[in-house]
Amino acid sequence: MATYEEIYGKRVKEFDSDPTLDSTYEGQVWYNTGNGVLKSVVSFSAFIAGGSLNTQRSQVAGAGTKTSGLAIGGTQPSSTAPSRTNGNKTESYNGLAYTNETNCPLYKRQGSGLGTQTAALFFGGYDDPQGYEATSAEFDGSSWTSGGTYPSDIDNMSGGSGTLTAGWNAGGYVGPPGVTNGTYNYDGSSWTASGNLPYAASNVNNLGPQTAGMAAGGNKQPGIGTDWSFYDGSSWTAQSAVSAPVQANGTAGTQTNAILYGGFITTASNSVCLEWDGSAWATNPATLATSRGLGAHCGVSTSINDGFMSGGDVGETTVYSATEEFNKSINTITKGAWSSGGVLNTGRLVYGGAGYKESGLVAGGFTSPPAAVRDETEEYNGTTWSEQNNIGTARYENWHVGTQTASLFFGGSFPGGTTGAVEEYDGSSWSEQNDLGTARFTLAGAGTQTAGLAFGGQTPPGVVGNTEEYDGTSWSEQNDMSTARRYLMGFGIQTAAVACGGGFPSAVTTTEEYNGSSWTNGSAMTTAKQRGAAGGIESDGLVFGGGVSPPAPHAVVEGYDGTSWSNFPSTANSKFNTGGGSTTTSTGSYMCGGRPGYVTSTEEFTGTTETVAAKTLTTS
Amino acid sequence: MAHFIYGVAENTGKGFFTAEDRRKFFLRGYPANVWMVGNNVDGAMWMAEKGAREKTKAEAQALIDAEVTAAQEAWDAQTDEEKAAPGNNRPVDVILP
Repeated sequence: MATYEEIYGKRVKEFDSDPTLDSTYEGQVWYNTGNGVLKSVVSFSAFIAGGSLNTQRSQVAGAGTKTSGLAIGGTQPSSTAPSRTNGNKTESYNGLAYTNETNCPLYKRQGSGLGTQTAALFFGGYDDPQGYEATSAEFDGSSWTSGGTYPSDIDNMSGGSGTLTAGWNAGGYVGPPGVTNGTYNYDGSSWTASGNLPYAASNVNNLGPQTAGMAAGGNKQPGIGTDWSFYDGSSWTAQSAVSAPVQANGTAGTQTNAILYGGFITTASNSVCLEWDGSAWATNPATLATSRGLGAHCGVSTSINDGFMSGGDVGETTVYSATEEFNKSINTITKGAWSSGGVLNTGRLVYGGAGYKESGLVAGGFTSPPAAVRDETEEYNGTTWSEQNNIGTARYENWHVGTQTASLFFGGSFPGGTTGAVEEYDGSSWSEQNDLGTARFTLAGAGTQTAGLAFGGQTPPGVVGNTEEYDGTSWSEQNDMSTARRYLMGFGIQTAAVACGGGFPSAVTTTEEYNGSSWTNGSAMTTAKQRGAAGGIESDGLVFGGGVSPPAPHAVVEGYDGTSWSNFPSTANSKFNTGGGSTTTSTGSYMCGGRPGYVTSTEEFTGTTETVAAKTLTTS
Repeated sequence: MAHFIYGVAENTGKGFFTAEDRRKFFLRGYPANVWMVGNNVDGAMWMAEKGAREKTKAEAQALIDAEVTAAQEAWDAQTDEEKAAPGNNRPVDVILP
């Protein structure tokens, strides 16, 4: 009999206690001599909650994958002229959050999608009140252009697969008299007839590339099919039937390993997931947390791990915005999100913030009316805010860095004046330090109490790009930023800092990185922002709160990885002149105070986590 | 069916909404303790658990308007010197999307 090592390449080990697990332990079996338990790390399947659509809707077309997806069109069922409400909505997904993109020129529900996030086709579907359509539109990641017209009106939810220049669709509803077995290939400009699907049906699941495609089930009118066929770009070959009747499901995978989930699986709006292993179908133990169908899903995929579903509905009455992503690995993944934190004792405008979400510190600020410059200091323990000794010089439009027990508070304004005052906090009281070389307000900063950095801001009548370093005693002038601005945000340390956003007067997307001596331009933020807050380090920063201009705060959150920006899960509240920060990474961030309303609320960010857990092996 | 449901509930701080809530349904806060929530089972359950008083969109907007109007009137009553304080912008209307 073969040994475990001969089969899996790893020997069964003995440990006194369970080891610290990482990916190298996948497939490793060990005997824990401490408790007499045999364990291993094995992969498992699960659907993971991801970022929600900005506009909840159903009958949504999808493209791309769970880390680079698209949701196109759709509807709020049962509304008047439903496709005219959300039928042109386009949102892109990065695995964390959805971002609104340019609306599609077509308004459709029940449309089909294929391709990637930056090269997608949206075709067919239903446009109220005109009816079924053959029109299509192509998306290049930023804008839409007209695409090739399908040979007939077509409605094939879960139809369409492949790439923009090598796409295909099989089956669909063509209007009276009914369903079709027609298969057509798309070359980036026009559709060409190909070998017919072995059966006629609508809502046929199409997945895979043009030369290795797959089709599953569909509504044969009457009857829901269990058919499973492979496509080579010109003809079809029947395979072992799906283990249940299916139509209009979420799909992902290849001819050797594919999944169908959600949609109609024996019954409508199911949560079930079926998996094809290359020879047979079986029920995968993973289920959608929210039973539903007709959400956005892959337009092209190379693995079952590309699978996702966003939005969708149950019975055309309850509509969702939530995303669930399929994951088969040894990791338990929990996606990042913001949650509510403690309530400030004094709601106010806040600028900057020291510490992180479990050990925060804010001071100063502004409330009106009556116009009042604040001197209150509050510490946060991750649950509640508590008042501390007031700061020496009441002010606002300052910046604040460091930790709860060693913070640095600098610059700012008060009615009728600008200050370069600097104070340090030691966890109980404030002490005055040497002033900034250039008194200013609406500035930003980074670093610590003994290695601080101040940059940008306003010295009436204009804005400055001045940069100063603090060594724990005094400030020294450094090279200016390239773009002078105010109400900007900053994070990082003195030798690796990021300045972003701000403006004068309009908000900008400008990013600059400081290396301890000079600034270089970084990639632009995805959304212009000023009057927000920021936290983290250069390679893992987060910017939140603020907005394009004071009247229009937004909930957009962006993360910076040292090279580029990407959208993160949004905050629940839209506020400008909000404070907060993080001295750790992005996941330590908190946001508090701000307007409108001089709010007292706090939000805390919890980043995405991946953990490896051992499975206990039993004999049964 | 409406896209969203609206309710009034005081943000009680930690735990008022969790990261899990945010992953499950759309949630956005507005002045006057108005919350706009995705109209689905999870959103409705959250509203019920928080004891939120459900409002129509028009009622929710009226509450927001009342709070913003009060803030605008208070701002208007300030002296010119107070109004000129940096960052002391007049409160602007907040419109539910």
